[in-house]
Parts: sequence; C-alpha cells; structure tokens
Amino acid sequence: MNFPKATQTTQTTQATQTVAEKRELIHLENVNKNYHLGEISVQALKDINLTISSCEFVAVAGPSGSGKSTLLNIIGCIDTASDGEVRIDRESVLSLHDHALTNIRLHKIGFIFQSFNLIPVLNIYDNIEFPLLLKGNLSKAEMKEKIYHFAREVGLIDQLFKKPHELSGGQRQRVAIARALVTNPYIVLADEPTANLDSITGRSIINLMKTINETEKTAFLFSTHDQTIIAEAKRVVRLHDGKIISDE
Amino acid sequence: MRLIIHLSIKHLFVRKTKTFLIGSIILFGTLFMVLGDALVESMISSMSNSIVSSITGNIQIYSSQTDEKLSVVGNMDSNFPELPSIKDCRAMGELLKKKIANIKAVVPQGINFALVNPGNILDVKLRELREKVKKGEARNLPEIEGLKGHITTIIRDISSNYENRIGQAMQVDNDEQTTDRQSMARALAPNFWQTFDEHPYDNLEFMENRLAPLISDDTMLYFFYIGTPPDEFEQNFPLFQIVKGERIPKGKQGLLLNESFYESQVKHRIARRLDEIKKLIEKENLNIRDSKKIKDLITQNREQILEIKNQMGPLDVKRLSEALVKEEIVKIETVKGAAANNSTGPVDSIDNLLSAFFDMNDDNFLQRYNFFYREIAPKIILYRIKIGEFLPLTSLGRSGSTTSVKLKVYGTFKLKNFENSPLIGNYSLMDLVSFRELLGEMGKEKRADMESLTREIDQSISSATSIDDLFSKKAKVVTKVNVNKVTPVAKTTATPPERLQLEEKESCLNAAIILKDQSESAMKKVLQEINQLSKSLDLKIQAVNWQEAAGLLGQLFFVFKLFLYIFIAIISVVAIFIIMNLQVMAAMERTKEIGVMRAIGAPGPFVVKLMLVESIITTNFFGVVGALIGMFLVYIFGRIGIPANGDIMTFLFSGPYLYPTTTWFSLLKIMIILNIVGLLAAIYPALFAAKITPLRAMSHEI
Ligand SMILES: Nc1ncnc2c1ncn2[C@@H]1O[C@H](COP(=O)(O)OP(=O)(O)OP(=O)(O)O)[C@@H](O)[C@H]1O
Ligand SMILES: [Mg+2]
Repeated sequence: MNFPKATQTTQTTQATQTVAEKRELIHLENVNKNYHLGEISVQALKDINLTISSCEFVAVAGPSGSGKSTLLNIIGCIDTASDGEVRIDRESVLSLHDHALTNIRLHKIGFIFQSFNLIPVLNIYDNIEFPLLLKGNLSKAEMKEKIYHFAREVGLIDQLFKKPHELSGGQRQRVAIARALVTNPYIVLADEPTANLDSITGRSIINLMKTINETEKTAFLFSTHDQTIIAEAKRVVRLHDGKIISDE
Repeated sequence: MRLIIHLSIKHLFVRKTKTFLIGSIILFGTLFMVLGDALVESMISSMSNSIVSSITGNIQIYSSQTDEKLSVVGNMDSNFPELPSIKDCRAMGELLKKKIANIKAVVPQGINFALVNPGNILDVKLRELREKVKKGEARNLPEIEGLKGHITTIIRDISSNYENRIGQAMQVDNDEQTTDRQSMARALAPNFWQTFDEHPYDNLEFMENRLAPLISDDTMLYFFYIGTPPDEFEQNFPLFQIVKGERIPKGKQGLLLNESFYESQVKHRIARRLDEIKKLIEKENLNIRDSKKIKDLITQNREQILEIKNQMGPLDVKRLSEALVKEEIVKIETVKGAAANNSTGPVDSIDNLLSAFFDMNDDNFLQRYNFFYREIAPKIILYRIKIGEFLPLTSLGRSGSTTSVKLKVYGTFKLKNFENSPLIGNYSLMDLVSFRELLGEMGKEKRADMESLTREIDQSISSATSIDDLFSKKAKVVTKVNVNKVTPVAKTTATPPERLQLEEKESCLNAAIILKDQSESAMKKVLQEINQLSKSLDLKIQAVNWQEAAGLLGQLFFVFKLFLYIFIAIISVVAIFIIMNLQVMAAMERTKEIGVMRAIGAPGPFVVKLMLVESIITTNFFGVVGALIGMFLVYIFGRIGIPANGDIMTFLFSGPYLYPTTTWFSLLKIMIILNIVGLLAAIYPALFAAKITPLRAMSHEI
C-alpha cells in the first residue's frame, strides 16, 4: 500500500524518542464535548485542561459515565471536541479532516481497546504486522524483527501463528499491546484495557504496560475504575461528571 | 495492496457461508451467461452459415445506379426493390475473379415473385381427357366414360352453385350471365357427349374456356423465386438438394419448386393436414385426444371431404367405397346407415363413408393415414402441380408490366436446414433466361416470339378474369403489390418449351460472391476491394455483406442478440442486487473489525479497496468456475447436439440439431461483464463500510 506518509512527523519520531526527555505530547485546553440526543444535550466533558508529556504513565479514573472514554477518544482523534483546543505533538487537530486524523492515529498513537481489539481473520503475527503494513515504510525483514521484538516483550513469541480466538483474553490484550507499540507511537491510549479481565490478569497487563513504559519510553494513557490498578499509575487524572476533579 | 489481497482472501475463507452464497450467485449467473451466449451465438452462426451457403453467398453485388437496397431473403411481401441490372454478369464475374484472388465464384442471381394458376379440377380433368383423345383411345372404354361422367358431375356442381354465387359475391353483367347459362346448358344437354365425339377438340376448348373459369376455387398460388444458372447455383451452394424429379438440364429453361412450398401449398389440402397431424404426433408427441390443434385439423378435413369426392370419377368412388367397407376401416353401423339410405345412390353414401373415415382417433390414425396414401391419394389430385408439367407463371416485371412465361417444372429442391423456414422455404428456383423474360428483359429474338402467343398461355391467363383480378385475389397476402402499376393488358411471352438458352450477354440483378477465405476480416477486405474496383473501373456495382443483403434475417439476428443482452442484463441486475445486500449485511457484521482497523490508522479508501478487492476475487474465482462448467456443458452439448423440437426450433437451429460452441471472445466478454457486475455490486457496500467510524464501532462495543 502506498499510504501518504505523514511526512512532517515521521522523520522526527526517532529524534523525539532520544532527545527530548520531557516533551509535550498531548495538550488539551478548555475542551468541551457535548452529545446531542435529539432534544437532550449531554455534556460529557466540561472545560478540560490537560497536558501529557513523553514517557508519562497516566491513569484516567472515574465512575461510569464520567467521561473517561470520551476523553480518550478525543485524544485519540477518534472523536472531536465540541470546542477548546486539542494539540497532539504540538499540532492542533480540531480543524483536521478525517484523512489527516487517520494519519495521526497511524503514526503517533497506539490503541488498546477493552475488547474487539484484533482482526479475527488474521493470525497474531499478521495482526501485529497490520499497522506496519499500513505505514508501509519498512522492509519485510525490518518488520519481522520488530514484530518478534514486541512479541517477545509481551511474552507471546510462541503464539504468533495462532488465531485470536485461540487465545485467552489476557493474551489477546498482550497482542493488542504489541500491535499498539510496533509503530513506535508517542503515546498508547488504552480505554479500560483490563475491564474484561480478571484482577490478576488485569494487574499483569498493567505491569506489562508499565515495564514497556520504562523500557521503550512510550507514554501510556489508560482509563480504569479499578482502584488497585489506579495505584500502579504514576499520575492519576480523576474525572467526575465530565470534569477533572484531581490530577496528581 | 498485498495487505488488502491477503486480508481479502483470509476473509473470504473465514466467512465461508457468505462467500459461498455470493459465489454461487456468480457461478450460476456466469453459467447461464455462458450457456445463453453459446446458444445465441451458435444459433446465429449456424443460421448465418446456412444462409451464406444456401442463397446469399458471402457477399452480394448489385448495381450502384440505385438508391434501393438489395434484399435477397426475408421479404415478407413481394415489394422487391427495383434494381437496375448488372449488364453483363458473366464478364463482371470473370473480371472480379481475376482482380481479387479470394473470390472463388460469382453466381448471377435475381429475386422475383410469381403467381401461378395451376388450373382447377375441371382444367385437370379436361387435360386428362385431351390426352386420351389425342392418343385416340377407344371412345367407349370404361375409363373414358368414367372421365366423361366425372366431368358432367363437375359441370352439374358448377351449375347448381352458379345461382348462389350470382346472388352473393360475384358481379357479372347480364350478357355474361346469359352466355354462362347457355354454356352450362349446352354441356349438360343429354346429347352433349355424342356431339363431343364428333368434334372433340372444339368441345374441349369450349369447356376449357367457357366452363372451367366458372369454378370459384381459390387456386392461385404465389411464390418467390431466384433466377440463377441452376448448375452454378448447385455447385456453389452446398445446401441445395434435389428432392423430387430432376435438376434443370444444362441449357434448358425450367423451374424447380421449393419442396416446402410444394408440400405445403401445392399438395391436396386434406393430405397436407394428415401429414401435419402425423408430424405433430411423431415429432411433438401430441395425441389426438388431448390436442385441440389436431382435433381442429380433423374437423377441417371432415368438412372438406367434398374436395376428395369431387376429384374422383364415378368409377373411383365405387372402388373406394368398396375398399373402405372391405378393409372394415369404417365402422359397420355407418355403412348400414348408408345402406338404409340407399335410394340416394352410391355418391351420397361415399360422403358418409369418407366422413367416418376422416373421423380419426389415436388408435386408428396410422392405419388410416396409410390407407389414405394407398387407396385415396392415387384417385385424387394429390399435387396441383405435377412434376414434368408446364406451368404458366406470371410475374411483375420492370415498370409494373406483368409478363407470363410457361416453364417446365423439373422437380423440387430443398435448401438443407431451411426446409421449414417461413423466410426461405418459399423460394423456388429457375434459370436466368426465364427470370429475365419474366422481368420483361428480352433480347431481339425474344421480341419476335411475342407475336406468336400460344393458345395454352392465352387460356391459362384467361382462366383468371383479368390480370388485375389475378393479383387482387391474393391482395390479403400480397399486401404491397402495387396494383396501379399493373398494366391491364399483359405482355405475354410464349416460350417454346425446353428451348436452348440464348447466347447473349447475360444480365442479372445481383450476384452472390463465394469466397475462398470466408473469415470476417477477409470478407471485409474483399468488400472494400470490390467497391474500390467499381469506382476505379466504373463498373457501376456495389458490394454488401450477406447480412445486409439478407434483409429481415439480418434483423432477426439483431433481435436474437437483443434477447441475449436483455437476458444477461436481467441476470446481472438481479445478481448485483442480491450481492449488494449480502455485502451490506456483511459490512454491518464487520463493523467492529472495520472500526478497529480505522482506529489503528487504516484510511477510508483502504476499507473501500478491501471490499472491492474481495468482490473482484469472489467474482473472478466463482466466475471462472462457472464459466468452466458452462464451457464443459457447451462442449458436451456441442458433441451430442441439442435436438430441435418443432418447426420453430428447427428454423432457429437451422437444422434438426444445434451444436453450440463458444469462443474465447465470448468468454472474455462475459468475464468483463462479470467484473463490472462485481464492482457495481461492491461499490455501495464498500462506501457504506468506509463510513463506519471507529467511534461507531466503539459504541457497539458497550
Ligand atoms: N455517542 C454518545 N452519544 C451520546 N452520549 C454519549 C455518547 N458517548 C457517551 N455519551 C455520554 O457521555 C457521558 C460520558 O460517557 P463516557 O462513555 O465517556 O463515560 P465513561 O467514563 O467511559 O463510562 P464507563 O466507565 O461506563 O465506560 C455519559 O453520560 C454518556 O452517556
Ligand atoms: Mg468508557
């Protein structure tokens, strides 16, 4: 595939990883998000101000309906803010079109979802390879090396040629982590990555993420309402009714 | 792209049900397309071959000095274009053959339309009597006496019908009526046959001229004919076959009737119906009990037994009655009934016998059919025109004049594959000299002959009240004969029969060109060459391909193709709609997967391409399988042949079997159509899938 490479960003990728230790990745300023359901308007996010820098490991906590997913979707360019300023890698995304947003997702962000993470018809290897093929800037050998590297890191080196449905939920989330990391994103967004897992597996996933955060220097932003998992985070942003009530 | 193809194939394998469903639609669609295409194309090529090798040749040439279009076959009316002649056909042919290497033969031709009055029953019986008188057979032989008795019966019939007809349709002025009545009275006078024996020829002539025309039978026949040198025609048109009689001997003038015309128009109506019933029973597996068509035919036969009775003399009637009773073909009760009524005489009882005889059913049909041909047929006029007889033909010639020529009927022929074609089955064949005479194109010597009109011709013309009448009688069928053009007085040419053809420059209206290399491209090349040659040498001719020359048949091909394409279009549209729905459903099922792909950076066009590629792979894979099965079936059918069921199919198949074949070009055509179908069917679902946003996929997740 010949995807237009996000030229303005890809060359800087390696540089940022090494040079800037504290670099602003995500910057939200007075962000509001309103959902309109016919007559009723729901304000899912209210006046959000948030900055996340490289190498951070941030948890977004809050009860159900507090706006965690909405926040992550806006940061992940899956959803757009109603107003305010959203900058990703110092680039304002509010006015960008779908094509440009897709590029940002491909090149700068990694995603881990609660479930339905993987493409069911592809095996694990192919699933991890998928975003690399979309980027299309690596040779076959380079891709293979990367895939093996991350598969090893998440501990799935001998499951590579299985289909997603042959793996357990925890294993699937590990694949999702590997896939999210394989493109070397600035930040990995994970919306309740442990919600479908038992607590032990959930913890191991969070620990894995933490380890990778340290070894790969990739920033993580994940949401959860599980107190024990929140404890693992270095920084916790608490949401309530769409507002940030604490950030520590 | 590798990713898309890889993903597509994976997908098709995983979603087996959907793939299979769409696949089978494609497969059967292709199968039907291949079969339909093979059928129509083979029908067209088989028919083309038949036409090319039975009448038109590959190319037709005709004069360029006209705006009219040449139309060799397929005219449904007699309104032929008035083409100027090509002055010297023979020389033209030689010239073309010399200049253009690919020309194998040039066969001069012309097409026209003829009316024939083969004479009614009285004519026929008088002719028989004349023969006998000529031979000087003993006057009171039972055969001659029987014939005379028969003639008297016929005249009595005419007499008793005469007043009815005067009352109804016939418009005859009073003078004529008086002469008619006097004539009939004279022939029915008790001493008529005594006076006859004293002056047989005068009396024969009297009856032929005065009485025979009073019979109101619709005895007029009309047919198309090709004028061409018979030997050259036979050499170059391999589908030509003599059926009855012999070919026209070289150098002789004569006529070959089309077998199908001979059997359907010339044959006795009752015999014709029996033949048709037999064919319906044998070829179409019908039976008398259930088929209304056959029942109608039987009823018609029973209503027209007079046509058999009137054709038999008293002697034959007696013999036939005996045979019918002896063979116990007719039930005893009927005979008894007839016997009880004996006072009315044997002639009446034969009515009952025949009526009972023709009341056929499934059990006795074959037996009675054979009886008919064994016992009845020899006693009646089975064919109104006999092979070997001289037939007076009347045609519309140049500038509306009508011309008559008497020609010997040498036999009948058929153009194989077109035996029952309504378009070609009516074409008879005559030599070119006679053709030109009928067209009114004659040399100096011919003009001299015009003066010496033979009596026979005069008579045959006079049996129709006038030429106008002669044409208007058939006006229903011959819709476009321009009656105004017909000059009231006919130029009549008497041709001493079987005279050698005149050695003069042979002109013709058109000529068929047979090629050595008959391929489409070779034909096009020769067409060009002829038209160029005509220009540079001022030959005043133009060349058209056989399809153009075939007139209505050419259009028939167009209709076939139209049907084929409508069929393909219907299949395609149905397929597109079903596939479209299935794909939209599949896309909906894949919402989450597509959402994930989009979320992790797959752009919208990627999803579109993915869906299109999937569709193209499915269509081509199953399309090829379908096409292979189709080709296999076509191959099998091509080996064993598809039998034609009935006349229409025989005509469409140009023979009793159709051997379908298919070409790579056809397959290519179908594969292109298939890919268009696949793409059209996938575009909407693909755009639909591309609209799936990660967000929407995510909300499904909750
Ligand atoms: N697509 C939508 N349309 C309308 N309202 C929405 C939509 N998505 C979220 N909301 C509303 O916005 C608010 C925030 O929802 P959000 O999903 O962000 O909460 P959450 O913290 O992720 O909850 P949970 O823990 O249950 O996932 C809720 O009140 C929710 O009803
Ligand atoms: Mg949520």
